[in-house]
Amino acid sequence: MNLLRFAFDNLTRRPARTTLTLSAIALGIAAIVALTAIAWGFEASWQKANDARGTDLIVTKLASENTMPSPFVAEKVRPDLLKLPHVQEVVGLLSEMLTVSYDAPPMFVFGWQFDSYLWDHLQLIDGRWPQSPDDAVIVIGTLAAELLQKKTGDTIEIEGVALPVAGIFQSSALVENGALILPLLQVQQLTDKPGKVNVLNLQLDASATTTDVAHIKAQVRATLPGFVAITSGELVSQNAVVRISKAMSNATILIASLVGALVVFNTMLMSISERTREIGVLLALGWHPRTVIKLIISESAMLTLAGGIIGILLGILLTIGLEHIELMRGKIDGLFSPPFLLAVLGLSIILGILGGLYPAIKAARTHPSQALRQE
Amino acid sequence: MKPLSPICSVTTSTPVLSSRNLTLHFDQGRTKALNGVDIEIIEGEFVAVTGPSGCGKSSLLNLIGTLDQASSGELFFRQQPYSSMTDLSEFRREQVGFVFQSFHLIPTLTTLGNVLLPTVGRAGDHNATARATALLQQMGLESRLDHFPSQLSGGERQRVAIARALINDPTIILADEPTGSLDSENASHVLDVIANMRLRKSLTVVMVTHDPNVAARADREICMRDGKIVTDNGVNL
Ligand SMILES: Nc1ncnc2c1ncn2[C@@H]1O[C@H](COP(=O)(O)OP(=O)(O)OP(=O)(O)O)[C@@H](O)[C@H]1O
Ligand SMILES: [Mg+2]
Repeated sequence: MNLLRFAFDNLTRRPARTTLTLSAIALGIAAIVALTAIAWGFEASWQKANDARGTDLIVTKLASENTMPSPFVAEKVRPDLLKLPHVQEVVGLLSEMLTVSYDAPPMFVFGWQFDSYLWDHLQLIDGRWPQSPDDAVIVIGTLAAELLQKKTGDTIEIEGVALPVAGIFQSSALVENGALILPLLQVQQLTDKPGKVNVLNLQLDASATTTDVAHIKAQVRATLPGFVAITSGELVSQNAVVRISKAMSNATILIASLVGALVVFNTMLMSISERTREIGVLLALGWHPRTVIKLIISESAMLTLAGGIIGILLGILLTIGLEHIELMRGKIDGLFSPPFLLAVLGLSIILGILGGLYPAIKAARTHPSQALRQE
Repeated sequence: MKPLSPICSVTTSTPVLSSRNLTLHFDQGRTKALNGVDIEIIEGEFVAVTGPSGCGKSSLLNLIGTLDQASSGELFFRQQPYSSMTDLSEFRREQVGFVFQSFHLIPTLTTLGNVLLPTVGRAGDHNATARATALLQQMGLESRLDHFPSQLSGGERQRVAIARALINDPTIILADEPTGSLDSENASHVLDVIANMRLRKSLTVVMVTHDPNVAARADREICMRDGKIVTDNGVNL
């Protein structure tokens, strides 16, 4: 006589109710999985882009609450930064999110300082790189090429100016693959922000230690009021979009968990009240109240675990689906780490235990003779 | 199965069960289900409890089986007061076997699963399935092991319930109208099984019944009225 088998049979005797509860749990878990994978993936993808560029520290305006850090005039701070110990290169970068085609979603347009290390990690697939800071051409990532249906030699209109596509590149970071890149000077002119950048990327020499990095950060804070030097990880985690998407994923975890636990609670309460007489029989046969608790908790945990497994699969499908819709392409890159998925499974079981706890205790307190009198 | 003579089975005279001035009240004392019951049952006895509806027969059985708690008075199991028992579920599991009028089998479990129910959570019980199979064989149910209750006749269901009551080798069988839902042929078969098992396992049986013919199968008949015992084996108290 196997308690888990008995619990399983008790669930299958009410297939409609079990399926409904299972679906509710699965949907909640799917929402948790999809939103969290997107939020974390978003962060990881930006992080990857910064790491691939070889940037050690980023200098930006202190109060960057927008999706992009606010632009500032690069030459006001660049000379000071170059004087700091271990700083080898200080490179300007201007990022914009612009609509470049009516039938494609808004896209990232990056202006990168010509002749800087930023370009080094990109791999040219077709065409050529810009030849000088004044070369008014665009290179586009493979995903951008696909989304815009452009190839080398075509033109793309940015802020009313038609520019030729000089080449197509590939990057290890999804955000860059979906982006358009021009020499910094060109983006400054197109967007009417002469001399401005929204971040300065610092590359340090190989001898720089973490203490040196901390020292540089402190120096920037002390000598350049209104600016901060932060690592790319810090920049990404402070980014408004990353913060909003993380907050949304946290809120989803909370709400979906609460709803899940309530759904299980309700189902198990219904189930035990239907089975009062049976529970009375179990107690009359000498079942310890603890065993009754184990039975009911096994039922609810089994229900939520199954819902969790289905929900994870559904969540992964949902994320993959979202990654492929036009509006989202190149902007989300779902991150499904095994520890995260295990944590979600753990969460499902915890929901079952929490939701089943009160019904289980209630069942264990059934008064056997009164339960047996029930019709 | 040939009914065996019941008288010869009383081997010892120690009371396995006794009670002193037992009462059970409901609705803040307005209903007196039991109103001062003194009883002594000898190990191995087969006792029939009779009396009109509502006289307290089931109440007495429930108190003996610890499904209810007495309002006052005391019950003893082998001289040990019930009030000193620390684990009532263990007492029910190890010493008592219940048989009910409406069988109370679990519909999702097979014959074997139902019989094994009282062994759940019993530490170190490794041969439960073998015991259950043997018991069911003795009751002529060897071909019904994997049937669900809905696939069994009334008589078969009650025999499954009896096997379930016997699985942990209890001391006492408490049967509340075990033949109440059966036709006379099935009833007599079930009674044969009870009488037979009782002798094999030297069980004490307390059986509630309306039917004088059924009561006649017992060694002793206790008749109740208004929560009290009025006659014991024909003797007025
Ligand atoms: N839980 C309860 N709440 C209120 N009254 C109860 C309860 N249980 C039993 N009674 C009352 O106690 C009295 C004795 O009930 P009991 O079930 O013991 O009778 P019985 O002799 O078994 O009757 P029957 O032959 O009809 O089964 C009845 O009047 C019944 O209504
Ligand atoms: Mg009764």
